[in-house]
Amino acid sequence: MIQLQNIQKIYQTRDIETIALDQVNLRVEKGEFVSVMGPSGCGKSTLLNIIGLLDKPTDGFVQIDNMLINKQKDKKLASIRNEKVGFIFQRFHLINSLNVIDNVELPLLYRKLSSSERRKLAQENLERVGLSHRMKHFPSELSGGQSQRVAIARAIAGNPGILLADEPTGNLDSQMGHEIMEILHQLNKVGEMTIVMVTHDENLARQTNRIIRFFDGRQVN
Amino acid sequence: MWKTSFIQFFKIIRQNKFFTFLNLFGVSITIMIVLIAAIKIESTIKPGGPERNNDRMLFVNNEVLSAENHMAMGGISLIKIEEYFSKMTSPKAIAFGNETPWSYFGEQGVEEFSVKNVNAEWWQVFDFEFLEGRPFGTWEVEQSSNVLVIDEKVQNRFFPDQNTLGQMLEVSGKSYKVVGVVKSVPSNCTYSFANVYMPYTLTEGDGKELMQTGSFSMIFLGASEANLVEIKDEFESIRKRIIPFLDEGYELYFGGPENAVDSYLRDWANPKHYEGSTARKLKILGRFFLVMLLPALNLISIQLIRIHERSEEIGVRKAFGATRSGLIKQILYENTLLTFIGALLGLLLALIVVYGFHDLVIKTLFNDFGEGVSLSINFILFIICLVASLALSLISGIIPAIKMSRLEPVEVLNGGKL
Ligand SMILES: Nc1ncnc2c1ncn2[C@@H]1O[C@H](COP(=O)(O)OP(=O)(O)OP(=O)(O)O)[C@@H](O)[C@H]1O
Ligand SMILES: [Mg+2]
Repeated sequence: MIQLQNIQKIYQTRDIETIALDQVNLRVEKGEFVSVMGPSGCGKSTLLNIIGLLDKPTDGFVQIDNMLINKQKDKKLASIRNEKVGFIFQRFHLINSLNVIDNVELPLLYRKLSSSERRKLAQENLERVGLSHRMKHFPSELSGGQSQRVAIARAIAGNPGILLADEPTGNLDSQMGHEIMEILHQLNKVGEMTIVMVTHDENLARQTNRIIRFFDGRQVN
Repeated sequence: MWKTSFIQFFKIIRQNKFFTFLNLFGVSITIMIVLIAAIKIESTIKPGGPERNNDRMLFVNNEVLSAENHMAMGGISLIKIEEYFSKMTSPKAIAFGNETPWSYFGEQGVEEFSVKNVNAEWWQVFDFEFLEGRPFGTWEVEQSSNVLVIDEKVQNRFFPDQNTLGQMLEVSGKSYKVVGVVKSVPSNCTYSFANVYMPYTLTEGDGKELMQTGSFSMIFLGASEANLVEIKDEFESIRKRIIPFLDEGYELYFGGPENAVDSYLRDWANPKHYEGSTARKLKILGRFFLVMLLPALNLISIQLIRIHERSEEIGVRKAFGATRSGLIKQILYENTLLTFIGALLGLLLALIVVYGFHDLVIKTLFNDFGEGVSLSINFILFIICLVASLALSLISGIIPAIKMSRLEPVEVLNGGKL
């Protein structure tokens, strides 16, 4: 369960102040699949980053599984990022120096697991996204769709309750986009993951439980 | 944990081959050069051979006679040694001698040998290894006996398969009897090295007036550290005693007595430095640090670039659960491990160069004067280099590592500024 209360995010650059999020209140129930829509620059990525603890709000409260995130220590934040949240970036952000299987293992490095357990989990998750035959490849040798599937495998390798996807299909053609959506639906239904997905595609959004719309940092419904 | 980090490290450096290479190359080549250059310095300061006890020796090589408009500089004159310094009571033994070349015109053309004209205590100050016979004694020196001690090289050249002792050897037109044969002295033992040793009383000698300089060097052997101080004090008091006997207005300085390091560092051309070599040592040390500054800055900048290059990776690691301290540890661990490997490589390179290209190194370091010099790597110096480079990579790693780790994951992912 995700709960945001009065979230505000202000970016202070040299002389301009950008209010990226303004008084956002949001609740996503366990097992929900919601999509976030809105024009470019309205604060969707900012919202997702704050939910994923990748960024701090200027003001307001974030709760994940009934735990208040504000003022948690770095160690605690790291373990929540590691155990409860999986993040899929719009630009993949795979580590180029590591091959596919090592990339997928990354979240597992921060758990108490043996290397064989890590390998096994990473393999299983690569199978879930249909990429087990590319384990030894490096990110530079993958297509966009394959990269995004590796990114998904990495996000779900640690079996988090929440999956956050920032335009997971934004860089892909519609065929690839549908395949990725298929995987996300599977994860939501079979894996019972709570998913928040940012998208510009009305068709994809309509396939989710709920659409949250943003305009200029504010929620509009 | 450490095993995982170790494996991760190799995965990371394998991919960043260029930076890995630069980093390793910079560290290893620098350390190799320092180690090899040190061989030269060490072989001069601690040459071994007959000078293996040189930490208990004090050397005086030159004197300066100076007045307002005049200055004479040279070796020490014989009269000052015979009349004054050889009568010093504090040293355990006092050696002195000068050097003359000996060109032998044989069937194979001109052969050059080095002859040292020395006193009897020479054999007590220096630790020669006699293969046959004996040194010449006080009496033989006083009597100007025609006796010689030769080294193996001369023995092999002139008496290859006969008894050497008692044989006559003609040196520069005069005949001498060989009374002893010593093991060849490595040529980096600059004070004790010669092919032939004879009583100094056999030659003319120079510097017979107090107002003249000469060509002699003196070497004092002390019994202990404290004794060395006494020797210096006694020497100084004698110097002051000589000055009144010089011409009006003249001052007298000596290049020493000083230990091997100071003697090595002494600036021959500049009599001002006869007053002590601290400034010169600092200058050399300063130059050394200036030269070392380049590889140091190089190491720092490469490591900074590497961390910057990896900002995306660091951001991703944060996003997936790396803690702040974990990241700092990882960065420092990888930096220092890479530097450590570089340092070991440097040692390996130095060993390969020194043992694999022994003759070439001798020729490069000592020109043609490297006969018999044994090369060896100074492992203490290596440890110092190792510690210094590890410290550098820790220092250069720690600030960006801390800064990176403090940023929010998105800031790092977006290429956060350092
Ligand atoms: N690091 C930053 N510094 C300053 N302003 C920023 C920063 N990140 C985002 N912003 C601003 O905050 C606003 C919201 O940005 P955000 O990235 O959340 O938009 P978005 O809805 O994800 O847009 P898009 O659909 O193009 O990805 C924008 O006006 C953007 O310019
Ligand atoms: Mg965005």
